[in-house]
Parts: sequence; C-alpha cells; structure tokens
Amino acid sequence: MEASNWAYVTAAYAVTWVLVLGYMAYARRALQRARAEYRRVTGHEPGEGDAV
Amino acid sequence: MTTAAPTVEAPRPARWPVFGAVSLAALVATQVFSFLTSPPDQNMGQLEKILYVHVPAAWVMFVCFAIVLVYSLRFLWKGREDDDLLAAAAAEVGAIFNGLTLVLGMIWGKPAWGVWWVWDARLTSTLVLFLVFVGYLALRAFVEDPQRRGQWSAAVGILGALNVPIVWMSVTWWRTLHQMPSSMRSMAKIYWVGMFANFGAFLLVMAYFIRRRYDAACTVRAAEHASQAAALGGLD
Repeated sequence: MEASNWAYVTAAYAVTWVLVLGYMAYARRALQRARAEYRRVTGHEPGEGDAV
Repeated sequence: MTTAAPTVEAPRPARWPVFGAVSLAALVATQVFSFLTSPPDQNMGQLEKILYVHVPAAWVMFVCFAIVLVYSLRFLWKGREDDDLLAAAAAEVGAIFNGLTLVLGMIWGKPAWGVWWVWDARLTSTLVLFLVFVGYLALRAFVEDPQRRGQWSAAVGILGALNVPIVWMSVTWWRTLHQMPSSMRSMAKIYWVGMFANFGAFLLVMAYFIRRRYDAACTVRAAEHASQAAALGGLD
C-alpha cells in the first residue's frame, strides 16, 4: 500500500512539473514569435517608442 | 459601453526571465522543504504530499479568476484594450491551473477514494469552471473584432469568476465525497506551513506566466496596429 502511494505521489509531482515547464516553454516561444513579428512589421525592437 | 481605446504598446524585453528562474527555484525549494519536514499523515500516509501541489494549484486558480473578474469589469468600464489582454492572460493561466487541480485531484482520488472520478459537488463544479474558461479562450479565438471580442469575453469571464464562490462553498452546501475545507484547527501546523510556502511559490509562477502571456498579447496587438497603420499609409 505504501509503495503504491509513492507511485501516485510521484505521478502528481511529475504532472505538475511537466505542466509548469511545458507552459513556460510555450509562453517563451509565443513571446519570441510575437517579438519577431513586431520587428518584421515595424523595423525596430519592441519598446522603442510608437505606442499605438 | 466601450470604445476601442488604442492603449496597447509592445513591452520592452525586461528581466522577467530572471523572475521566472527565481519562481522555479522557489517552487523547488518549497517542495523540498515540505517533503523533508512533513511526516506521513495518520490517515492518508504519504498521500498528504499531493496536497502540497493540489491545494496551492486550486488557490492560484481562484486568484487568476479574481484577476479576470477585476480586469474584465475594468475593461467594460474604461474600454482599455490592455485590460482585456490582461484578463485574457489571467484566464488562460487560470485554466491551466484549473486543469492541473482536476488532474491532481484525480491522482489523489484513486488511492484515497478508490475511483479516479466521481460526480461529487466539488469535482463537478470545478469541472464546470474549467469548461467555462475553455469556452472563454475558444470565444477569443473565434471573434476577430477586438472590441466585440473584449466585450463578449469580459461577460463570459465575469460569469465564470462568479462561479468561484460556488466551487469554494460546494463542499459545505452539498456534503458529498470531497472533504471539507482544511483549517488551522483541523491540520497540524507543519502541514499548513508547507502548504502556504508552496502557495507562495505557485503565486510567483502564476505572476510570471501571466506577465509573459500579457507581454506576448500586447506585442501581437501592437504589431497588428502597426500593420494596419502601414496599410492605411500611416507609416512612411
């Protein structure tokens, strides 16, 4: 019983970390894509003026 | 009600990656701390360690949906597009933590209750909350006009957030399988310390996620505005 409980505990923490790291990577890639598109359209880096 | 105020600008790359690394380090530290300091529970044994991620994930989900409520109301009041984008970022992150809460609850439920899922009041109301915010995100994907998208998603976001008290009170109003809310009287101090420490780390991760998604959304909108301005001859 105790050993099988550890399997559930391990699964819970594995799911948590896969989700946290996976979403972190997804958010990072999405931001990089957005910044690349912004540079392509405006010709300059985000944050360099022209509030719209 | 609202007018599309041009309030979005592409944020300058800042030190958020450092904040993200600090958040992850805090999450590792609080999980190690709670593992090392909490003895097996008298009834649940080692299963109590799942509560250090399940409960903070649920609390952070509530915080996200509170942010959705505040910024959706603010958008409807002031019509600032950045409020809509912040509400949307919080809704997406809230849906992520909502899904995590459900999955962790199922992983806990199988050994504790003998079933992965039961149509218990708490589980069902949490699933309904999840589906509302999945619908919120789907709505945003399908509506192209920013003003209508903001207004409609604000309405759904407010209705979804109003479901939070029902989720919170469900175990009190309908006594089904899910246990009653834990309190400082019902739990030993060491468990509370671990739970609040993990909640603090989850809050940092949540803030990082929301900020990154908000930055991405603002940058996309700023690029769209610039592209439209260029098409209309607004740029040289």
